[in-house]
Amino acid sequence: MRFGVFWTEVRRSPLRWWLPVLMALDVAMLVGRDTAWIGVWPQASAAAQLPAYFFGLVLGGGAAWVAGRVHRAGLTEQLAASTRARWRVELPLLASTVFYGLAAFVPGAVLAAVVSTPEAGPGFLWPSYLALGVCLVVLSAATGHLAGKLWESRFVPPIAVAVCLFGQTMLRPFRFYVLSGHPQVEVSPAALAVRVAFVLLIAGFALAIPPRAAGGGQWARRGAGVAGAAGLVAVAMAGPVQVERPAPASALCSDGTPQVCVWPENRKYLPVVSAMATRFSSLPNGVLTVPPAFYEKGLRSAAHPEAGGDFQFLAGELSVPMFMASTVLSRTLPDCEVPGGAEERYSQQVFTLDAYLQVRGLGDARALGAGGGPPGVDLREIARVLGLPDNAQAEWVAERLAAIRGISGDCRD
Amino acid sequence: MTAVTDCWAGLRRYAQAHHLAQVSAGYAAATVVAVIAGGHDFVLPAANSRGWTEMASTVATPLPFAMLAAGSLHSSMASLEQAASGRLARAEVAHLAAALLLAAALLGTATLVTGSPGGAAEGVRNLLIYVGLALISGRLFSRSLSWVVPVGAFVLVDFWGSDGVRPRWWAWQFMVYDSLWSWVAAGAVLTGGVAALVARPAGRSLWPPGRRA
Repeated sequence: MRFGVFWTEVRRSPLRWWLPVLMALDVAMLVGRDTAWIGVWPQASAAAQLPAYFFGLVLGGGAAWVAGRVHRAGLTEQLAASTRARWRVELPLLASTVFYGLAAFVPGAVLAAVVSTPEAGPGFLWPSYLALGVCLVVLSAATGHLAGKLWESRFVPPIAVAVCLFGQTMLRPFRFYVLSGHPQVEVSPAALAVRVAFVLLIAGFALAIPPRAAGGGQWARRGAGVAGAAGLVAVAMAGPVQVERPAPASALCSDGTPQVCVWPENRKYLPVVSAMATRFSSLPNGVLTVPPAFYEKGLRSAAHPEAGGDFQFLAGELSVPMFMASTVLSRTLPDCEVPGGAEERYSQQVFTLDAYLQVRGLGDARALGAGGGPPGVDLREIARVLGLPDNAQAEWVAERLAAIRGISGDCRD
Repeated sequence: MTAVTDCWAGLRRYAQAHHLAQVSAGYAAATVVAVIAGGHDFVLPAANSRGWTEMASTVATPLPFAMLAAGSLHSSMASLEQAASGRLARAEVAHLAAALLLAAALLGTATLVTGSPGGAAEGVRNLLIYVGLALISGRLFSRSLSWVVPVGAFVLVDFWGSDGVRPRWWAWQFMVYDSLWSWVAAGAVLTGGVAALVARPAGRSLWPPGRRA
């Protein structure tokens, strides 16, 4: 019977017109962006969680509009005089709003799992990120519902939207979403637990607190205000949503030389990154000093002298050659004092060599990004050199190194 | 003398039916938000390769002003006003102009306090865009739902409006204040909104058809 009421609310909710829009938005937000998240479980989970921020805006306003129908229809007092407990009347209504939020959220999560499975290897979506998304969906719906019920004003839905937007964007300690999910970080269990408790608290208020226009209930509203404020303080005190993860007991390393080690979650990158490392070491005559192993950030203790240059996947593998090129360059050309007046000539030579190494590492010019590489670098010259056989390239690199050492002196000793 | 008193009484009654107190409180709150946000950039999820974009807060701070300005056109006496003469339509346009000017003044000043003159100009331009969209939304879905299209536009522009370096041609809210094209577009959107407001029959929504609220 109760389910029958819930289903009636679902069919009557004005949000039914928005469900296709929200579902399309969810899927578009997953695939209509850079798809480097595909095949890395924590990244896929964070990507599936991300649309919840936008659903929050729509659901906050939508829930307030749905809950305000009692006022618009002039039934506030009749409802207050009902013999049924208030929460039993409100539950199907709030549940129908949450239903629409989740119905739009779940297809994205399923899609993220389906497209990630072939590449990502063992594991699955991280429940913590999905829980964070569900929390934000329920919180927005409950906040909007509560506001729409408490105040009769026509402006409550847009105000609920604004509160969701500015509250989530400007008040960082109360944030319920993350922008990305690198394997080096995870959702803090304490922060998540406090957020779940806070969402349940607000949802409880949304169900049980009587509207102002119904008369009575001042103490319930004041008590709820105090408890809500205390809850917000608790959320802020629980610390940031994401915390550093300890390095895995065994990193995933390639067999080749130089060796490449990545976090196990980033296994899909191992072949492509180890090919990059090989392209650095394959220049003949030992013109470059390549380290025996390249590590992804977070695998080595930060105290290690070279850990600062460990590579990161900032936008998929495109960012990796930049880190590797600087590691190789700093091994090949130890820091030297550059004589005054020669800085410009020096940095132009170093930038040229650096750009060459990045493009060689990745295998194409996308390594330099949309900006077209460091200032003053002749990209056509680099393209010409990369077209030469490896021997000739090594000669060109040796000339550049000689020129640089000519400016700054050779301080390898 | 009587005529002046009548005029004031008429204004007072009009303002009462159009939620003057609530709009004033809302403007005050939106101004406070704009002052606090003025000097900051917002970091929001986006479709570029980083997965997020850093945008001037003036992409978001005009939203509450626009939703309040257009929403205040809703009248508690809407059903009675169906029988109103053309005078009401003129009063509504004057109402919108006053609400828009006040919002522009508050938002511009608030952004100037903590931000820059250029930021203030961008805020005002974005206000024009959002108000135009809110008026169109009011005509589409009824005046109480003026907020729907501006929120949708914010979501689209925020997520897909930039390729990571430059704004797309249709993401006028992201453009710098000296981009003529963005001002032309803002003017066009506002003109479209005003046309939607004054088109006959006044105040009827297109979806669901004919609702007046």
